[in-house]
Amino acid sequence: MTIAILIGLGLGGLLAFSYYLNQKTPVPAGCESIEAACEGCHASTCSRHPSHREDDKRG
Amino acid sequence: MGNLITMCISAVLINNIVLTQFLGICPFLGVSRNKESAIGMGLAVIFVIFGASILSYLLYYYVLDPMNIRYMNLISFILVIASFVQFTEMFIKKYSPTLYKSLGIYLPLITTNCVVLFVALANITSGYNFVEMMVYSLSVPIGFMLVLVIFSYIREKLAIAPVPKYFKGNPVALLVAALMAIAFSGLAGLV
Amino acid sequence: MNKQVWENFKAGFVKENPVFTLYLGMCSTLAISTSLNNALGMGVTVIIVLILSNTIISLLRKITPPEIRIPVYIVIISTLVKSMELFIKAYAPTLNAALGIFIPLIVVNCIILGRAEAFANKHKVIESALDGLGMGLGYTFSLLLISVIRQILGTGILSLTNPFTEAVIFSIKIIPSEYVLSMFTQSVGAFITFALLAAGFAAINAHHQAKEVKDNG
Repeated sequence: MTIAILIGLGLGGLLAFSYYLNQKTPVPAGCESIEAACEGCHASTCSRHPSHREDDKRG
Repeated sequence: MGNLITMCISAVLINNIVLTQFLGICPFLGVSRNKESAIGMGLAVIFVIFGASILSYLLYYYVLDPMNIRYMNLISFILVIASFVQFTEMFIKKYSPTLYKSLGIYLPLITTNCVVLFVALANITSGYNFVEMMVYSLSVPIGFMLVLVIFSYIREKLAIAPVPKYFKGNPVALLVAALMAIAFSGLAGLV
Repeated sequence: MNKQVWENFKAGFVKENPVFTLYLGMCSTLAISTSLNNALGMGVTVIIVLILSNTIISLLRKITPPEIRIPVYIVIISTLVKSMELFIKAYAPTLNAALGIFIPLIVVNCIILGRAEAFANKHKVIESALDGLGMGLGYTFSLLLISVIRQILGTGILSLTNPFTEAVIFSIKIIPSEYVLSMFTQSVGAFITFALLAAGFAAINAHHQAKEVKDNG
C-alpha cells in the first residue's frame, strides 16, 4: 500500500515537474499566432484553450 | 507473423477505433476541419500512442505487477501518458520549430484523448506480448489517422455545402460519420 | 446569489448541456448508451466522481500551486475514478461487464477536468459541489435521452434492472420485434441519434436566444 502511494506521488511529481518545465519553455519564434488560431474543442486541459490565455494575461 | 498482420488489419479497418469503438470522437470532430490539421494531429497521435504504450507496458510488467499493485494501473498510466506528452512537447519546442508548427500544437490535446489511455489499458487486458503490443499500438492510431484524414477531406467540402440551419457544424459531421461507420462495417468479414 | 446558483444548475441541462451543446465527454456517451441500465450506471458514476472531485479540488484550491494545477487535478480525479471502478467491480459486476473499459475512461472525460479547471478552483466548496451535481445531472439526462431512444428503436424493449441485485425493476415491450431497427444498437444508430439530438438542441438554444434578444431589446 505504501509503495503504491509512493509510486503514485512519484509519478505525479514527475508530471508536475515536466508540466512546469514545459510551461517555462518558450514557444519557438513565429509560432505564437498558431495558438490563437486553434479552436479545436472544449478540452480545457489543453494549454491552448482560451481560458488559459486570459489567466496568463492577467497574472 | 500472420497473426500480427491480422491484428493490424483488424485494428485499422475492422475494429476501427473511431467508427466501431467510439473512441477519440472529441478530436475527431474538433480537429478535422481542414486537411493540414488532420494530418498533423494524426501524426502526433501515432507518435504519442506508440511511445506512451511502450512506457506503460514496461511500467506495468516490471514495476506494478511484481510489486502486486496492479490496481495502480489507471493512475500510473495516465500520469505516464501526460508526462510523456509534456516531455515530447518540450523536446519539440527546443529542437524543431518546424515540427512544432505542424504537430506540436496538438500534443497537449492528446493527453485527454480517450484513445491513448484505451490502448495503454487494452495492451494489458488483452495480454499481449511485447511484439503484439507494439503492432497494436501502431495500428490503432494509424486507423485513427486514416479516418481523421478522410473525414477532413469530406468536411472541407461540407463547409461550403448548403446544410440546413441547425445541422451546420457538428450535427451534419456526425451524420457523415454515421455513413462512414456503415461503410467500414462492411469490412467486417475480411479476416 | 441563490438565483445565480439556480441558473448555473439549470444551465447544465439545455443551455450548456455538456454533451449536446459543448460536445464534451462524447466517447463514453456514444459507446455505452445502448440501454437504460448502462445510462443510469454511467450517469450516476459520473455524478459521484464530479461531486467528489469538485469538492476536493475546491477544498484544496487555496493551497494548490497554480503552475501545477492540472497535474494535481489529474492525480485526484484518477484516484477517484479507480476507487469507483473497484467499487463497481466488487458490487455490481453486470454493470462492470456492460460498461467495460469505459469506467476507467471516465478519467479522460473532458467534463470532469473541464469543470475542475473552469469552476471548482475559483468557487467555494458548496457551490462547486452543486455545480458538479448540476453538470452530472445534465450529462445523465443526455445519456438517458440517447439510451431510451436507442433501446426502444433498437430492441423494442425498455427495461431496467437493479445492478446490485440483478432484480428486474421493469420491462416494457413497446415495439413488436418484427419492426425493430437493430442498427440503433450499433455505431451507425449512435451517430444518427446523436446528430439529430444535437441539431434539436441547437434549434432549442437558438430559439431561446432569439426570445431573450426580443425580450431585452
